[in-house]
Amino acid sequence: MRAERAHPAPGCETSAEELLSAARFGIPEPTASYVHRPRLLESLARWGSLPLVLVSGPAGSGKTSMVADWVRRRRSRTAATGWIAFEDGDAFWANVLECLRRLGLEVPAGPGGAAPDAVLGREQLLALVTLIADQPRRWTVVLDGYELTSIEVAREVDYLLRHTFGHLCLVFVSRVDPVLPLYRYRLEESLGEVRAADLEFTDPEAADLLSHLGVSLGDEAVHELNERVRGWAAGLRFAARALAGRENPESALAAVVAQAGDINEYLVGEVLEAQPPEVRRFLLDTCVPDLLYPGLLEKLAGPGAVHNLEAVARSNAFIEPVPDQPGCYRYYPFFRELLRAQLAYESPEKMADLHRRAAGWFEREGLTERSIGHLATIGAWDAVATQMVNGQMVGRVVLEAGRGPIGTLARQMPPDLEGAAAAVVRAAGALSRNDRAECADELRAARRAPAAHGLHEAQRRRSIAVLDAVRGSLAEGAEDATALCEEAGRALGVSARSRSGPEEDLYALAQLSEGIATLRSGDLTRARKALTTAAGLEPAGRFASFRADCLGYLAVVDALGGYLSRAGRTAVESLTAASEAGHRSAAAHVALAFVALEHYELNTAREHVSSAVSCSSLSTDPIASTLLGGVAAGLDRANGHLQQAIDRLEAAATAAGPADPWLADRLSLEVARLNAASGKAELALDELAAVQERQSQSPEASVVAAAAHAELGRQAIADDLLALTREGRPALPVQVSSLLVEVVQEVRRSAPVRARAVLERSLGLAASEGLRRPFFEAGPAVQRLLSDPRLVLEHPWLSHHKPPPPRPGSGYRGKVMRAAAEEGPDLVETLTPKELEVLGHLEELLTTEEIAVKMFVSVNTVRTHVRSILRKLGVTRRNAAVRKARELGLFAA
Amino acid sequence: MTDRKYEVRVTGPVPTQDLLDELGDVEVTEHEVRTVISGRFPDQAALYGFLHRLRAFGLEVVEVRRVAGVEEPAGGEDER
Repeated sequence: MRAERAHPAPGCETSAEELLSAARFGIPEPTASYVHRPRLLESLARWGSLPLVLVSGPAGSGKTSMVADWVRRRRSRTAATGWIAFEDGDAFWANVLECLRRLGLEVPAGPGGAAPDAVLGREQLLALVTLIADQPRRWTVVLDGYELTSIEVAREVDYLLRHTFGHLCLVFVSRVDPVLPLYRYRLEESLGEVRAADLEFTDPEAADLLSHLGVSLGDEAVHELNERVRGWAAGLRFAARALAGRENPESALAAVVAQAGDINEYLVGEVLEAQPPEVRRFLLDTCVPDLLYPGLLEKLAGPGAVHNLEAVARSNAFIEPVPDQPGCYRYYPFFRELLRAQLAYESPEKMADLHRRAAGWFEREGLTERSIGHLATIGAWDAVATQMVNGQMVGRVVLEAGRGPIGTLARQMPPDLEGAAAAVVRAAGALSRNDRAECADELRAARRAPAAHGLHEAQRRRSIAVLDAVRGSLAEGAEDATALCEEAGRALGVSARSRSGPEEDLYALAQLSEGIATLRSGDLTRARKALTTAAGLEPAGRFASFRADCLGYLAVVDALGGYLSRAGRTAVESLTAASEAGHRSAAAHVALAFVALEHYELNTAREHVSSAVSCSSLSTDPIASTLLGGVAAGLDRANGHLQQAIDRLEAAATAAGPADPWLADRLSLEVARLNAASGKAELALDELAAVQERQSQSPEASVVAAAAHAELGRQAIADDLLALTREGRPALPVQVSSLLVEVVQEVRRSAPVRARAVLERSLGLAASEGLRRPFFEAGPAVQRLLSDPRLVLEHPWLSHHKPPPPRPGSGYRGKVMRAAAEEGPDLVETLTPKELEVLGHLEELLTTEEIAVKMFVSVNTVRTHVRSILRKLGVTRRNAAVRKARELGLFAA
Repeated sequence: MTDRKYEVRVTGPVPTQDLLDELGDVEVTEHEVRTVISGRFPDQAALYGFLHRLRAFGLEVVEVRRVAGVEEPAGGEDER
């Protein structure tokens, strides 16, 4: 759907857009010369309960008038009927949804794609089916002039019609049959068809039409004429124009009918030639725009054009007022095409001049999109580029992500067009294809190019600054990215947030970029603020791929901050938006993998890791790729492959290092944590020293340091560090880890009651987010306490492979929940953390003795664990247990 | 309504039986490098709709012709 229509701005724009929308969704009024055609209306009425009706026929055969008459006559009945007048390039679903909404159906937000063949997506399709099938009413939508040529959209339409059980009827009025499996509908007798042969005027209908147009002929003459024009309504109209006012129409007709060749072509010539010169000029002058607005009319045809127009409308059968919009007219489409062809033939220069004038008027009215459409028609690409920059449309090019009208225009621009504006537009086009290198080149050219006539310097600077921020937010180092975003913020100015329309597009893009850049430098508070702002702006509602990006990174921010359930919800929303837009978001999958790992749902985590890996955006997304390294290492660790995990973390940290020191530090911290947990405290402290230089106050680092010092027996230092981690409000995982270190401390001090109390506090904290990982990975001291059956009873969420306690009304549905639930049922009894640990060692083919040594327990204890593993998995041998565990996804990637 | 018979030539074979079923009531004859699909269509809108379907299924149309035996000579693709 066109931008301005969805989002009216103040001033003239609103009224012009209201006109457009009335023209689109209004049911066309009958013209004075309309001929009532009962035979066709009866057919349509008979098919009242069918899901699909086709009215197929050539231009000018009277399809629209006839169907409009049918709709107006049945309007008062029980069924709700909507109308959509499609123009070339209009999106199918966006308009259908808007039409249903206007009929009072509470349809969810439209799809992201504004391309004519953008698909609805599975989830939205199902939602729509349910919505319509549940209604007691019947909905009919007339699709006037849409050519359904995409098999994907056709499959969705087919699905919708088949599953709404007659509650929905679509009437396709077009020149070409839709690519639906029509023969199936015919076999099932669920298709009504009015075809070209039916639409041909019968002789009595032709006589009616001619007399409405002031021409009265005898039956014989009507028959002769109708035969010649083959029942074509437009042909009859042209003939009427040629004959009107003749003293003896019958003899004039004889000359017409005697014409050799294509009588219709001849009649068109006749009609134009027969007009007085000033009317003829008026017709050609005004055929360029699709709709003639009062102000535009004068612009094209000079002052006083309104009187001309009214005169023509009264006497001419080829122009009609737009329903409900006084002063607004449009030509019959086929006649408009003829006029345009004639104009292009007679005077291409004049046609270019008229397009230019129309463009100028639309630009002043703030309808940039229409304006550049006219300019593109005549190949005035310099002007198109200049206006795109002046009108701040470059943001739209990026947001449309290659699936909308503005981006399509940008793509059609000749690649060698010179000048600053063209370079800016090409830079935006490169971004919409995710080609950041080309974007950088074009931006460089755009900065260098001299000032150009008509190009607003301020807008050039703004567009360049915002595009560079979008590009740099992922392509430059974190520090430079932040600088570019600040530059964009300055260029936009403080007032930007109160703007609307194209300006809001730029502001939204700048906010997303700022969110990404600040996330990369570890300022999660600022990142959340910017991303929340971006996701709440109007462009996020309209462009699903943009919404998917905002929510994907927001989910990452929440996951890193320990808000696991919120991160999960946001990520699922992001994936829904992404699937609407036919777009893949690595960030959302990484957030889900991260959340699943913290929940210790390893199978789910692995699934999201592989989904993220298959996203093409991963390689150009330092956030997703770095965090993915961390999650993959976490899975290695959970699987018992400690060294592999450390290697992976170090490799990922090195790769991220120069551009993303903060993200790299997170990975190095994890290395330190793993070392501390596996008894290599010295190594851990070395690792920490490097990190702490940059993050002296980070509570994450302090927890790891505390664990390492505790391990080395430096109780006092450990206690001091733990105290540090409680300052402020650290993230939940930090709090929980800090408490677990404290548990170990208390155990060492032989204070079992206090240790248990602290453990219970940590469990209480972790329960709210279902944070299981710290407990599963805790050392033997904590594990021993956890094996207390009373604790297990109080915290069932910890030992079951199920999500944490139900959160009523949280809306936490979708992939995470489903995947988590799927993991459970096959297991009769869930394995305890200890048993999982033993199982991990079994997979490594360790012997009972080796396992005992590794786990600091007796050989007999290991045997007991193995026995219960075999029992729980329902197998009799160790390698069978490993195989079964693999099938159940108990091991990580 | 008098249906007219058309022959549509496409490159290569028509891939699968499923696709044949999707095309509806038409005859398919495979030749070496071309497949000829012939069917009856009531008017131009139906013919163009059918061609759109072929394109949507990834079949490249190389030739369309009206089969003789009907009242007018071929060349009825005057619309649009």
